[in-house]
Amino acid sequence: MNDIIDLGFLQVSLAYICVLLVIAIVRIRGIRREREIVISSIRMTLQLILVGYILVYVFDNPNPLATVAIVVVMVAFAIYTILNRFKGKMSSALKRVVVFSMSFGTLSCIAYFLVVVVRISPWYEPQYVVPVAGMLIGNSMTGISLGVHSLLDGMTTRRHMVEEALLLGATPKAATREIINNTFDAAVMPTINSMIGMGIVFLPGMMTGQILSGTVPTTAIAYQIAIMLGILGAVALTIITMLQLGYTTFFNKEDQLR
Amino acid sequence: MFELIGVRYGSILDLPDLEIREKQVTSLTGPSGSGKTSVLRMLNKMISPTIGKVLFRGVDLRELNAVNHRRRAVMLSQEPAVFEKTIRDNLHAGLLFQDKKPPPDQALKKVLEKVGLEKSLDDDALRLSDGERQRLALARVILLDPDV
Repeated sequence: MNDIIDLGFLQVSLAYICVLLVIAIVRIRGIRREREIVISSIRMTLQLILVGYILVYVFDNPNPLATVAIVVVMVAFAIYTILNRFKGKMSSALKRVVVFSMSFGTLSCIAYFLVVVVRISPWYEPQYVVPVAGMLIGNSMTGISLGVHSLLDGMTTRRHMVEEALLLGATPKAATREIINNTFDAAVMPTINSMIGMGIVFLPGMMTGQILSGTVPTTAIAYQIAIMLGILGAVALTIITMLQLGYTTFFNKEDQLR
Repeated sequence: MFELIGVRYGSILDLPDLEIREKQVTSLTGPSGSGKTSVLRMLNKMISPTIGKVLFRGVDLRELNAVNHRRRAVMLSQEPAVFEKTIRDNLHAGLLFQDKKPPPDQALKKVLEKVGLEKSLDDDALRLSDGERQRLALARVILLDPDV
C-alpha cells in the first residue's frame, strides 16, 4: 500500500474554494446565509485544529479520567446543541427527558460497543473510545433532534385526537401511541436509509478515513458494519427512551392534557 | 350522581353548588364562553376545578383514577374527532382504548342503524359530514356501554 499523502497548509487552503463557491451561489441567489457559512466554516476549522492537538496529547498519554472527561464533554455538548438549536417551546420536563435519554442511550451503547464488540483493553483506550463515542453521540443527537421536533409537532397538530382518545377512556400511553410510533419512525428513518445506500451510493466517513490511513479495506468494512449497527442501536435506544418518558410530560398526574 | 361544591375553574367559572341526578335530564344554559363545556369536562375529569370539588356518587373525583372514571362516565364532545381509516376502525377505537374486544360487524351495523348513520363499515370516516361524524361518535360511545 502507498504511503499516505500528507495534506499541507496550501492543499487544505485550496479546499476552501468550495466555501467561496457556496458563498457565490447564495450571494447571486439573494439567500442571506453568507454569515452562517463563514462562521460555520471558521468554527469547524478552529474546532478541528484544537481537537487534533488535544487528541494527539490524549493518545500519547492514555488516562481513564481524560477519556471519560472527553466523552462527558461530547454528550454535554450534544445535549446543549439539541436544546439550543430547537426553535420552539419545549417544557423543562421534556428538556430533562432529553438530557436523560441522550446520556443513557449513548453511554450504554458506547460501553456495550467498546467492551463487548470491539473488546478494547484497557477500557479507556482513547484511540477507540473517542471516535466511536463521537459517531454514536453525533447520530443520536440528530435522531433525537428530529424526534423532539416530530413529537411536539404531533402533540400540537393531533391534540384533538389525543383528547378524543382520553374522552373514550384511553390511558395517556394509548392515546399517544400513534404519535409515538410516527415519531420513532421519523427519527430512525435517516439512519436506516443511510444503511441502504452504504457501500453503493457512498463510502461512509469512518471507513474512508481508515482506508485513507492505510487500513486494509476488509478490516475497515468490518469496523464500519459494526459501527453502523452500533449507531442504529444507539439512535433507537435514545429515541425510544426519550419517547417513553417524553409523552408523560404532556400530561399531569390526573392524566389530563397540560 | 354528580355534585359540584364551590367549584371555580380559572376565571371562567364561578358556579353555584349543583347537583346532577341520575336518570334525569339536566340542562346547562349560558352564553358562549361562560363555561358550560368546562363543567362537562370536569364531570369527566378531563380538567379539575381550581377551587372546590366535584363528587361522583358521593366520592370526590380527586380520589378516583381519571382513566377508570372516564370509562364509567363517557363524555361526547361537541366536535368529536374522527380517527383516520374506516368507520369500523372508528367504532373499534373506543373499545380497543378500553382493552375490550370489538363485537362482530353485525353488532356494529346495528349501532349505526340506531344512530341513523346509513354508511358501510368500510367507508372512510374522514369523508363524513359534521353531522355524520357526531352520529359516528355517538355510536362509538354506545358501544362502550358506559354507566353515564
